[in-house]
Amino acid sequence: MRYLFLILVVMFMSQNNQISAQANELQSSVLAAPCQSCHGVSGRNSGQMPTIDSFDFLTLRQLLLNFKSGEPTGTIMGRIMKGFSEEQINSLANHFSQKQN
Amino acid sequence: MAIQINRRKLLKLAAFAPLPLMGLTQINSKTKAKIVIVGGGFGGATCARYLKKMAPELLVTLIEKEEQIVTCPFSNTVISGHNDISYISHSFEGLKKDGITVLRGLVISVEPKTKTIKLHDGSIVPFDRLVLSPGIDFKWGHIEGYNEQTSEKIPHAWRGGSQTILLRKQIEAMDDGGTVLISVPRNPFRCPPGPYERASLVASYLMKYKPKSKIILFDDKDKFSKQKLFTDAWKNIYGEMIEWVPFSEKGSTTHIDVSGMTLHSEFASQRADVINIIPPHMASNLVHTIGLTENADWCEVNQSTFESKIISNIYILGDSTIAGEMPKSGFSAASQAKCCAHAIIAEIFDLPQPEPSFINTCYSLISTNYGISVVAVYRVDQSGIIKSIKGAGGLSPRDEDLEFRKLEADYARAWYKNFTQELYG
Repeated sequence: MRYLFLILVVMFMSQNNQISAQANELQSSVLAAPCQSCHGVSGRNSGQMPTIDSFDFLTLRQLLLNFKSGEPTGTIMGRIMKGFSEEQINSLANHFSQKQN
Repeated sequence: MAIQINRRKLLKLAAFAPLPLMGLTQINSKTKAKIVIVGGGFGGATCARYLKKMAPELLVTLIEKEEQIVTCPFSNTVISGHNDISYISHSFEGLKKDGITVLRGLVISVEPKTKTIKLHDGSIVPFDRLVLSPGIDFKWGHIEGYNEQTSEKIPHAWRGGSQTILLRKQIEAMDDGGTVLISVPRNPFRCPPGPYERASLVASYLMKYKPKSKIILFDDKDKFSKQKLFTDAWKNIYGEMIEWVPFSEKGSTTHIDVSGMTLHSEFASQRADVINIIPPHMASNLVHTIGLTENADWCEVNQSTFESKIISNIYILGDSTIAGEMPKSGFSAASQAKCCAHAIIAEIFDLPQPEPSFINTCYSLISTNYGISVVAVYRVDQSGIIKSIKGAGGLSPRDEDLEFRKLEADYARAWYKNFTQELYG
C-alpha cells in the first residue's frame, strides 16, 4: 500500500510537470502564432520575408531585442517588438530556434 | 484522502492527449471532439488548420458556401489590372490534405440545444463546438436605391469574386477622361485603408492608360486610416487625379440614381462613369439568424476565447465580432482564430487558458513600388477588452525615402504569398 502510494505520488508529480510543460508550450505557441502569417509556418517561407527558423536561440533573441530597442530600424519589426517583454522575446526565440532542422 | 485525490487526478490525466506540438499523442472520446467551423476565409481556414495541427485526433469540419475562396486582400490589385483573379483565388485542397473535412454548403440554421447545424440540402451536421467566421453582410437600402440587384450594375466589390471582376471590367471599359466614384461608409467596416488603396491602384492604372480621368472618394467620414501617408503619396505620384470629399463637405451619402449614374448626399451630387459603392456593414446574416447579436450590428464575445456571450460552445471570430480595438482585417481574423484555436485546445485538454496575444499588420499598396503599413500588438486588459499596447505598433514613418516604400511594397506582396500559403497552401 505504501509503495502504491509512492508510485502514485511520483506519477502524479511527473505528470504535473508534463502539464506545466504543456501549458508553457501552449503559451509560447500563442505568442509565436501571429509571426507565422508573414514569416511562414514554423518561421520558414519562400517569399521575400526573412525566414526565422534557422537561428540559434541566442542569435534570434539578440536580434529581437535589438528591434525592440530600435536598432536595426527595419520596416515594421521595431514597431512590433516594442509590444513584447524580454520574457516574451525569450519565449519567441526559444520557439523558433527549436523549429530549425 | 490524498490517494483519492491522486486517483481522481490520474483518471483525469489518463484522459489527456498531449499535443503533437509536444511530441505525444493519446486518443480518447474527449479528444475526438467534433469541431465545426463555418466560413473558409482568413478566420475560418486558420482556425481549422491550427486545431488540426495541434490535435490531429480532433474531428475538424469546415463548411463553406463557395467552391473556392477569392480573397478581399489584394483584390484591389485585380481591379487595377495588376493581377488576374486567379492570383487571389484559393482552393481547399491544402486543408483537405491536413485531414480537415471540407463541406460545401450553406448553413440554414443552428440548433444550440441539440448541437446540430442544418444545411441548405437538408443535411444535418452535429458538433461539440462550433466556430463561426462568416464575415460581413451589407446594410442594403441604407443608401436609397442601392440593393443586391442594383449592385449588379453599381458594384461594391467588397467581397472577392464576381463583383471584383465586374468593377475591373467597368474601369477597363471607361473612356479616357471619365470619372470613377468610390463611396466609403462610416466606421466600422472591413479593411479600413481598403477604399484608399483602391483609389491609389486604380489611379496607377488610369495614369498609364487614361491619364485625363479622375477618381473621387465620397466619404462618410472626416478622417481615414493612414491618411497622411496616402495623401502625401497621391500628391507626389498622381498629382490631382484623386479627390477626397469628406463628410464635412458633402454630408451623408443618401441615394443613388442608377440610370442617371449620379450619387447624392445631403449637400452634394456627383455624376460618374463608374460608381463603386461600399455600403455600410453589419455582421453576417447567419449570426443574426442564430440570435448571436441581440439585435445589434455585431457579436459580443469573450475577447480571450471568442466564445459567444450569448450561447456557450459557439465561438465567433473575424469581421462579425467586436474584438476590442482590433480593426476588421484578414490579419486580425487570423490572429483571433489562432487564439481561439489555442483556447479550445486548452479547454479540451484541461490545460490552463493561455494569455492571448494578437498582432495586426496591414500593408497598403499605393503603386507597385510604393507600399505603406500600419501595425499593432494587442493584449486583453483586466476588463477583458482587447487593447493595443501603447508605445508599440504604428504607421510607416512619414519622412521615409522611396527605397523604404519599395521595400514595404515588396513585403506587402511577400505577406500575401506567405499568408495565403499558411491559410490554403
